Amino acid sequence: MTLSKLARKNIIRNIRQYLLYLYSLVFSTAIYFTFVSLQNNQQLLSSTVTIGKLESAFFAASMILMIFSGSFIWYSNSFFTRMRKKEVGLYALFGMSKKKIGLLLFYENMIIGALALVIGIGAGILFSKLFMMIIFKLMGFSLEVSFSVSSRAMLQTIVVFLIILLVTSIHSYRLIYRFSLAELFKADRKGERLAKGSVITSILAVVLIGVSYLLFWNPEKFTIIHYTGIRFGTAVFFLVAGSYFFMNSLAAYLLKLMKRLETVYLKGKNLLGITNLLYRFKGNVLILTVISLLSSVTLLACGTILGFYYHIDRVTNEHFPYSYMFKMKDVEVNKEIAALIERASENKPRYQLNLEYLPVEADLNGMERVPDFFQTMLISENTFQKLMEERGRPESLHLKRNEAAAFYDGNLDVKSDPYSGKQLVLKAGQELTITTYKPFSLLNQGEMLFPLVISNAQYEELKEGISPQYLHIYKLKNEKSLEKLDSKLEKIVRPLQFNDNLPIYSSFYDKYHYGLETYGLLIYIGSFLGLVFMAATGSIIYFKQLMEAASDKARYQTLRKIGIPEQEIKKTVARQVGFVFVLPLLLAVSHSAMITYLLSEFLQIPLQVPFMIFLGAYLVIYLIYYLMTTAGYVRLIKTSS
Amino acid sequence: MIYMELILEAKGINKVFGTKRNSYTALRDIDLNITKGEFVGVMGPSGAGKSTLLNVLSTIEKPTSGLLQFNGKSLTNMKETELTEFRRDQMGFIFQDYNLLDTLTVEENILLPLTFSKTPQREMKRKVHELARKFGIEENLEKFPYEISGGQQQRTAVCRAIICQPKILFADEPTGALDSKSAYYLLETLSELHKEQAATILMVTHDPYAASFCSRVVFIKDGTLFTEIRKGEQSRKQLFGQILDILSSIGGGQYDAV
Repeated sequence: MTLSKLARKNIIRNIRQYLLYLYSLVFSTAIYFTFVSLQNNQQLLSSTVTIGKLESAFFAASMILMIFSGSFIWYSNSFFTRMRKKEVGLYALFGMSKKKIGLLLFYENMIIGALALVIGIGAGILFSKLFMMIIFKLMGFSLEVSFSVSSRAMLQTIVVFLIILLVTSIHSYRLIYRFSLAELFKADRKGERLAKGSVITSILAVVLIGVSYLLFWNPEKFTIIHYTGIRFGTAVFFLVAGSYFFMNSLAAYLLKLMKRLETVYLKGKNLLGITNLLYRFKGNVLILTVISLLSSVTLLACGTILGFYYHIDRVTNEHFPYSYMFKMKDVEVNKEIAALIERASENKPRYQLNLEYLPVEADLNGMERVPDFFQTMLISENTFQKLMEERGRPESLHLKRNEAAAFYDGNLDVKSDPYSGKQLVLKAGQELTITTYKPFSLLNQGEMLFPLVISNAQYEELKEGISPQYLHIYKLKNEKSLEKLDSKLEKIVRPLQFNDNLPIYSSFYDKYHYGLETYGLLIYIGSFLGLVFMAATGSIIYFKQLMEAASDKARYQTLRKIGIPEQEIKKTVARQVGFVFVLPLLLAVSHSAMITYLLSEFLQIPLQVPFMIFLGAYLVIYLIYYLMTTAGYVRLIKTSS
Repeated sequence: MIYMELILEAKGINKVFGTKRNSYTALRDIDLNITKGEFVGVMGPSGAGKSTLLNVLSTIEKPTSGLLQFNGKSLTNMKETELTEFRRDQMGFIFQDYNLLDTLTVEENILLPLTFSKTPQREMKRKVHELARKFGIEENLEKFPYEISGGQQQRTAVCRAIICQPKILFADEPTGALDSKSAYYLLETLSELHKEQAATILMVTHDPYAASFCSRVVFIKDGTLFTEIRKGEQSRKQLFGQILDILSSIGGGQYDAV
């Protein structure tokens, strides 16, 4: 029998064992291919403006995917080869040369890898159309998705995975050289000592996590570190360290505490479960820490992005209260734009206004948030009132002389008031003090304007020296579906943007769809990575638990022999595996819920619902992994050796 | 003759392994009665079916045909879950390789079977200490199996086997992995259990010396009962000699590592 034939026969005969490994390979390949083919999709590239700006995000995501797939496959492969140590030992015993055994393992891995690559790409081709439809929907495109296979994506996937396969195959090849014959036959490491769990490190874990939350929270009267970057860095570091100590000490300590409670401890299932966990814990600490942190990041990122996406409507309305707001230098152009808008809005605009203001030059040195090149514009209280009445939210200010009101400027820290008490000096000499701050946008954001409202009397006075200007404001009913109008206006405005002196042009439609596209893409990237992380963390626990099951088989056989009922053994396993699954989940939920809550306070976007949605999905997938692991564990310890 | 209470009654036991085309009969028409307070040894060459007999009698394996009664109750038709419970409550087991759990301390190993019944904790602890004192492993209760000697491990296993006060104790080559001194100590222990507490024990062994501690020795060959001898009023030495005689007539050449 030739070596390659033996390799093929091995695969066919042991298909059950290979299946899990094959699954992780296929999964990684399919995910990677789908992602890369999206990146190379011509339809998407030609119909979006944002993808260029998100290119770095795409690139980073595909790099992360690659690294992740690589380490995931590496991990599955080493799990898989370790399971077969005995078989390899047997070949050696029968006189097969080391080189031949190595080659056998090498061939096997390559055959399986090639198989996975074909299946994975096949699945990826089917999936990519589905995913394209999802992403087009998310981004608000009304395009028919054409079925196309990107050859570039295929080539990229093949190259990347062949490299990964080659590396892992060489690793398999080295197996026989890494262990002596005796070691191959020996059962897996015996010496995993009982986890200790000290009180001091347990307390340290709680303190570190607590301080880290506090640093993220940064309550007003309790600022420990002022510089934001350092604060976040420290917080993340503390969180990581705290999570490690949590797994390393606190969990073991809790188990030991349970051991001391004899009423709990001396119930059959608990005695076995707790000792087994303690026995195996040391080898699990690092993996569980990594998993808890990965899960935190996944939950946090996906929840937040989803939250943003859901609130694009609200946020866009807040930042861009008017459908159109413009002032070009040429009066004729203004008229042309106005005519187009009026013709397009068949239902008539909800309101239309020419906002009078005085462009002034002022010394803004005291204001960090307003760069010098921003156009300061003064608006009279009367005009302001009229505008607000049109917007349907009447406001009055009662400003005195030399007082001014400032407005929300798109700050991410929504709750802060960066203006009250600040002063500015006009070129004509007047000194204005900002006494009022309103937490809403007076004009559309992003046009480099700094609007201030002053008293009517002072406005009239200043008007004598400066000629007033008019900003044209339109609010339309169908502002979200003005695709045709918007592209017409774009054609007029675009060429004037640079040669016209400081034109003002802001379109709600444009901003809205920009947001949809951006966050739609981010959701896509985010959920992709989330999916991969989730699958990977679940599988890693799965592998690790099954590995333990394989080496603990004898122990369970003993239990069966001395008459411990099968049902009880199953329950013990279910609890034990449950503990391993719940522990990282507990940390992940705590971390991500805390940070999501703080973030949503900070941004004033309710992230709770999207977070819960994501958490729900996460829990379901996690639960499936748990059930699979328990079933696999029970199956493994049942089969006689 | 005094009335003897029958504990285990096997009638016409057959055990066939494999498929129809390629079958192997491990046990053929075995009839065996074990009465209360007996210390029965089962001997025979390798492959004679000693372990299979023990497995069938202890309900770990089902016989292909035949009747098995325990205390007058038929076991042949019991469901697997019932059998497990039955095993837990009525039977104790000792194995050649001890089969202690290395994650548990000696104490935990001993009380393990109790934790699955509804014994109060104080009672559990009391029982463990009592047994440990009796078997000379009281100082080792807090230690882990790998920290104590093989003999101590096997005595731990004996404690575990009898803590539920089983009606019958099954021992599969209990001295097989022990040095001669530990083996002697263990056999003395079993023999004491038998004499002082009238425990019923069934021990499979191929060591004639171990068998000489029994009150009755059953010999099997090629899956059938060959003969049996009783100790009666003989000394252990006399019984030992008798056992050797029978073994040589069965065919001594087949003995491995006596």
